[in-house]
This record gives sequence, structure tokens and C-alpha cells, in this order.
Amino acid sequence: MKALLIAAFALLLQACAMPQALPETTALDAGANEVVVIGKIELVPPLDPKFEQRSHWNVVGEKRLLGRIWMSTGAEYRPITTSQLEGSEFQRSLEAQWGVPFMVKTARQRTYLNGGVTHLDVLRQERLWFPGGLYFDVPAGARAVYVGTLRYHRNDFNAITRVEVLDERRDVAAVLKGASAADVRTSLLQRLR
Amino acid sequence: MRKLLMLLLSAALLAGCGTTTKITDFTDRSVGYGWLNIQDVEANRLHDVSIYQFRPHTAEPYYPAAIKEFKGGYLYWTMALPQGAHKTVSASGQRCLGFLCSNTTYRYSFGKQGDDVGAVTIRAPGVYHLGSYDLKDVKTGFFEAGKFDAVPAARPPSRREMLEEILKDAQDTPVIADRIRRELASQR
Repeated sequence: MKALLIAAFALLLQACAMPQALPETTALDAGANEVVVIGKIELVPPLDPKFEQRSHWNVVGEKRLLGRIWMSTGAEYRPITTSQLEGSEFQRSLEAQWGVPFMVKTARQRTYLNGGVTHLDVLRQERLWFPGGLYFDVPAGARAVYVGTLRYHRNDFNAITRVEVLDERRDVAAVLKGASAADVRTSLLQRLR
Repeated sequence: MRKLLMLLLSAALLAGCGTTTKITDFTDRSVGYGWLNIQDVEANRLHDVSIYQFRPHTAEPYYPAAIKEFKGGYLYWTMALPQGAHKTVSASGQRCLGFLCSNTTYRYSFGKQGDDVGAVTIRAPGVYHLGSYDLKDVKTGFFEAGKFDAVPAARPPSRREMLEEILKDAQDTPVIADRIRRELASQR
């Protein structure tokens, strides 16, 4: 009986888990067990906020959701659930603005992308889902890595038709704002085989 | 001052109500129709089906469909679809016993991603079938939200039966009625 109660409590907690974003940074200041990750995520054609997103004055915190992608990451490849948003799957969520280079800190290890989500209407829970199945490695001694541009292509019905990884290293200079990019090693996203 | 405030509040409330542009010229419009069987879900009476225009983008992308109980399910249609990419995006209903209905509205959202259910790309004015589907509740855990699945209908009415029914409603719109008749003729 006690075990059942604990299991039920654990399930409740899991259901209520809030997504946790990887910390953003503006400098190459990773700790001993961390690495700074630079990259970009794009959607082609891009979302048109005027027509494809809906904002509500009474939804608190929707600014964190609209216009951004949440990419689930982890030390293992565990594809996300796409029928509903499971907060527990986004405990190390790479949150990036579409088409804008990001710079975040994460654990110093091979990191898998488990799939992403973007919100169209927070109140009505309308979302688009994006496949994962990629990873990046952290070369020995690297304080920072550039993982490339992850580009999703969609059709008229928002089905993802193609996924590309591009080397657009000029983004490194853009996020470092004049600081030296020499310390940033290129380690582009790889597809799982 | 109070009067002015009340007026402003009323105006804001009215502005919040959705309005749609009334279509009077159907020359370049198409018929989109489909059929849903809801016998295996919680709702047993449909009162709303919406078709969404994905492309080209528009400020008024939702097309409310006409609905009719038909052959064990619900026939739905609109005569107003312009050229572009469209998909049945949601259906809503209640559980009713006779004229008494529960106050819970069940909304079945087909989502805004993927072209596997009720989707069509219209390149020329005509008559387009959006599919016939059985909606089925999917068992979920105690703490999970309800889910449903849409599968191709096992025993749907024929397209001819559906079009003949829609034609009865199209007599006031000759250009659409002609299109439906042509479609019926092509099915012989």
C-alpha cells in the first residue's frame, strides 16, 4: 500500500515537472564539468507570428513560449512524447529563438537531441513537434563547441519534410560580440545511425 | 465618466467577439466535405467542425462547417474554401440524452501538423473530399489527459450519398450546386 502511494506521488510529481532551460551565457565561462554550446535552429519557411501564432493577454509567461523552440536534450537518446507536452522530458531544454544563434551551457558529455516543440497557441495547447535523433560530442579540452545550424523544412501542413545540419560558423562571432572565436571548437551535430 | 467607462468596456467586449466575412461570390470557392463517426468517443452529438486554412496565410483561417447527422455519423461541409491548403482541424460535441446535454464540451483537435487526416490542397475550384473517419478514445493513464485517434472509417457513406445530401443545401448557390452535380456525374 505504501509503495503504491509512493508510486502515485512520484507519478504526480512527474506529471507536474516544469521544463528547465539550459542556462544561457554571453561569455565562454564554462565550469570544469560544463561546456558552452553555440548553434542555431531554423524553420523553413519560418513561422509567421502574425498568422500562425496566437497570443492571449491573460496567459502568464507565454512570452517564454512563443517564437521559441524547446529542444529536449540528454545524455541518452530518449525520443520525446509528441501527443502531449511532458515537462519531465524537458528538464535540460535547449530553449532558442527561431533563427537566432544561441549560446548555452550544458554538461561536458555527448549530448543527444531528443526532439523539440514550439507553441502556436498556449491557451489552446496548439504546438508543432520536431524530430530529434542527433547528437554532438565534446572534443577533449574544448571549453566551447559550435554545433552548427539545425534546419527543419516543413510542408504546407507543417509536416517536417527534411532536416539539415549546416556549418555557419560566422554565427560564433555574432554571439561572442567581438571576443575571440578561436577557443570555440567545431563539433557539428551528427545523425544517429 | 462611468458612462464612458461602460461604453469602452462594451466596445472592448464586442471587439473580442470573433467575426467572419460573409461570402457572397462563390465563383472561385470550393466545396470541402467529410464524415465523422463519433460512436466510440465520449461525445455523442457534434455541434462544431472547423476547417483551417494553412496556406496562403490569412487573417480569417477558420471555416466553420455545416453539420448534419447522417448515416450513423456526422456529415460536415463548407462551400467557401478558396485555393490553398486546408485541413479539418477540430470537432466539438457533447454527451446528450434526448434534449438533455451535459455541460462538458469535448473538443477533438486534429492538430496543426501533418496531412494525414482531413487535409486537401485546392488548386482549382471544385468539390473536395476531406475523408471519412472513425474517432476512437485511446486509453490513457489516470493522470494523463484524454486522447483520441482518428482512423479511416470502417463503414462510411459513399461520396455519392454525401454529395446528394449536400446538394439539397446548395440550391440557393447555383455555382456550387452546378459543381456538385458535375462531381456527381463524374462518379457514374
